[in-house]
Amino acid sequence: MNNQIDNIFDRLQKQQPELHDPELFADSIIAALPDRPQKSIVHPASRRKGVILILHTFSSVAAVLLLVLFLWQSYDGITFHETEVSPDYSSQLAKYQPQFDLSKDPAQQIAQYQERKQEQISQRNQMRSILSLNKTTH
Amino acid sequence: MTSIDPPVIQRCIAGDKAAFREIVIAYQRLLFGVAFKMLCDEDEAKDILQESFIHIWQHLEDYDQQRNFGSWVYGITVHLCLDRLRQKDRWGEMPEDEELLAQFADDPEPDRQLENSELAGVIRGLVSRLSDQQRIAFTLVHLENLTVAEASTVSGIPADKLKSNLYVARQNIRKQLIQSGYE
Repeated sequence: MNNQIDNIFDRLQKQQPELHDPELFADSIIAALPDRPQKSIVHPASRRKGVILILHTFSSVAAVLLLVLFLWQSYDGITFHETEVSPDYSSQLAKYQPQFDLSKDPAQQIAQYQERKQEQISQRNQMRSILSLNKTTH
Repeated sequence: MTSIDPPVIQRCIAGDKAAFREIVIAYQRLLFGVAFKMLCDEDEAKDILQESFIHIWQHLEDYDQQRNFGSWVYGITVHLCLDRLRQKDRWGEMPEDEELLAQFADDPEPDRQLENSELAGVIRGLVSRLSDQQRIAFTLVHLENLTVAEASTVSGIPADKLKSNLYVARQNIRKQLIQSGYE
């Protein structure tokens, strides 16, 4: 079956194109060759130095990072302490709250109370401003 | 395939062009043959041959000495031909190709070696209607007489895909030849 076609295939396999004047062609190829790129040779000692330098840089960066982390944590601790103090300070103020004396003139007592209250508020504001000033300086 | 001594390769790596000339002489016919059959054009085949040797010269350090050197250089040429085929638009069948094919089929001297232009016309007449992949499979297996495994290695096309492309290529060529009156 398909003898003629198989015959074409078989005969084609035996056909080889002719390269005329191969010597001349080889010369033309050699003439067209670029110079080989020179690869830079890395000396083992300089490679070791490079590795040491990288390690040194890495450890320095890690140390700086640790220091920054420590400082940041410390700053955070101060703010935490401040929030703990504030309620305690309020309770101390409350302890010194004057009680109303029913035997005295109520209008006078109210006026005195308001006066003290104003004084306490201004003291508290002063204290707060001092605390906030401390916080910013940290 | 032709083999080359490892010391020659080492000398080439060191930049010895005279040593590289030995490689060129040893492989140029083989590489020209495959490039010619894949591209069906003598000038383009010579162009690819030059490109191949320059590529080999520049990448000799990448050659794995465990592999056959001939297979390595052959593979480089096949890949450069594949790139060239992809760049080309469509394979135009020349008007005289059919006539050349008829002359080849009816040649009273079946062992006569064809001129390059005749051979290019006959191959073009057979493969011009194939896809690139079918053409590669047909050229490597039928015209270069490689096994499917060898063709797969040098072209980088998986063996299964190559086998199916080869089957379709053969069927297409047979159909075309039957239509032209061959049996």
